[in-house]
Amino acid sequence: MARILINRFLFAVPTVIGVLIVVFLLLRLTPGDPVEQMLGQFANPADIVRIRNQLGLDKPLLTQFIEYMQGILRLDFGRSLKNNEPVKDIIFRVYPLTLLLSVLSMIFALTFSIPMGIFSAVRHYSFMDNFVMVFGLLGVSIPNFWLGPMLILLFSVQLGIFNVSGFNNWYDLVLPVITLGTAMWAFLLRQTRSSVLDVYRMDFVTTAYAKGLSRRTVLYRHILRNALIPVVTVAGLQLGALLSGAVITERVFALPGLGDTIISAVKSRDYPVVQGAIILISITYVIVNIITDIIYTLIDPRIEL
Amino acid sequence: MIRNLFRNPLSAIGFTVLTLFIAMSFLPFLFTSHPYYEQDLSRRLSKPNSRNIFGCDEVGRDVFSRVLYGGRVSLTIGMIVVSLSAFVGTCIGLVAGYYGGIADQMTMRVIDVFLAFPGILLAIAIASIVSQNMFNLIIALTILGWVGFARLTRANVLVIKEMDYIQAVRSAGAGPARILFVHIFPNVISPLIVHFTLSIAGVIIAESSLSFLGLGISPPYPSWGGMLASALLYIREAPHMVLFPGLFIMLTVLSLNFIGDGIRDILDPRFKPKIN
Repeated sequence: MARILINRFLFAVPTVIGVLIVVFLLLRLTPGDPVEQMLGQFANPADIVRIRNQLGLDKPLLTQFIEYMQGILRLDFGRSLKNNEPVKDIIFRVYPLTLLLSVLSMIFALTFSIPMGIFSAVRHYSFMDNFVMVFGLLGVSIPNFWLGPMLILLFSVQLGIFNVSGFNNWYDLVLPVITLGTAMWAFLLRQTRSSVLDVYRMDFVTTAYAKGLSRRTVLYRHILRNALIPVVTVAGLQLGALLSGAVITERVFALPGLGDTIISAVKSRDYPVVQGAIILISITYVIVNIITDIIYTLIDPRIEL
Repeated sequence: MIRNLFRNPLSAIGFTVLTLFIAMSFLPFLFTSHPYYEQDLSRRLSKPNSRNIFGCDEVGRDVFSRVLYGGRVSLTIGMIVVSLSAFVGTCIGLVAGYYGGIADQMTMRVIDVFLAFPGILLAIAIASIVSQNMFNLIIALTILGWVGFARLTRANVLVIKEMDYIQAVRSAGAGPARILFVHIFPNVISPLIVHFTLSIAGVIIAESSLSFLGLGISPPYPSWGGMLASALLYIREAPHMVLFPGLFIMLTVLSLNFIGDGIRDILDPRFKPKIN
């Protein structure tokens, strides 16, 4: 078991290093001077020299890369160009809210998609199945930066149930969670339905019915146990994708999370903050994928390592 | 093909709506007499009425015209980005899948790295260092898009190249270029067409997301995402500003998804009996 775990993590090392190289090269190899881009056309030459020095851009590329990697190993992403605060402090202060938003959205999506998907599959091609699936299609096509404002319009402006934006208590997370979770809900709904239908057609299900087991027993003991494995796996792999959707959702609802921080930093060309935040999200994504992979191999006895 | 598409009611709806939107976006003068930049402060935030059917925005511009012109930008960018991605991704996928070995290994590692940036994150990172214009936006979205085409092509090439008929053409003396483009490529094209259609929807969402975040199309030029961003500031006074751009994004994406699903049903041999 320990060997499997170590293997999986070692397998991800090249990917993580690749991510770090891409982020590194992005700033260094872009045509034009990044510092002039940051400070604008009419910047004071002394400031350009100072920022270039602070980012280490005046050193040879290889030296820069070694220092960059050393910094990351110590979780040192440099300092914000705006207020000189260490990037580490900024991103770890706002990250919990983004993680919370993503995890709650996933819980919301799973809670509603799995029962509805099973229901749809059991009564496939019925009126209710078609009805649910049309909603599913709407759900995957609705962009979250439109769903959010529409929910605000209905629940905050018209009905006055929730605050329009900001984050003061748990209550304020209800609309963002629905906004971020809806696309995931629709996606997992379709996944559950097709997965259950696939298992439905397998021989062992026919056998189970032929043995005289009740529909209920076959559904719970035989079908769902097999059908939900891929659904849970896909959900795990998509959890990382929610982190990217969270960027937009936080912007819609003015939630002070990592997404909001990234966009503000992009607009003020505060590159160290952008760099740190992107590395943090990508590494989280890679780690979540590894964990999902491991769980998948653990719960599906058919897979041998 | 189009006739087959019309046998599926959902793709028929998608095809009709999309054609209508394309006509409206590229021939806007047939549908509206207001230029998208025409300001009339006396009509600021006015509700939908007979003169401005979708109402007016914060400086009195006609929302309907802006939605049409915004659609032109979104659809054009969608087509350009997906065409570029398809070209680059398919070429890389063909070569990696056919030759295998170290070239394939390297390609897959690079693809893994690109996939490690969830969603539009890489495009946001690129937007943070390049200046904001249409060209850079297209490049950033293409960097996101080629990966899907490369993976799909490679996976299918791996299957096809082991088939007997490839052995046959090889023993008949065909060179690698001929085998790849004449014998393998036509057989991997079906899934690529489906992916192409669905990718346009994905790119339109990505472009609108970036424009919404203020990193895509810059104002005053209209874009669906940018219109939604400014509408959010006037959500109490002018809900129509939120409603219409988003509705158009959703209908476009939904249509493309319907068409993509329809094409898949037509091209996937497993579904053939249903259509004939």
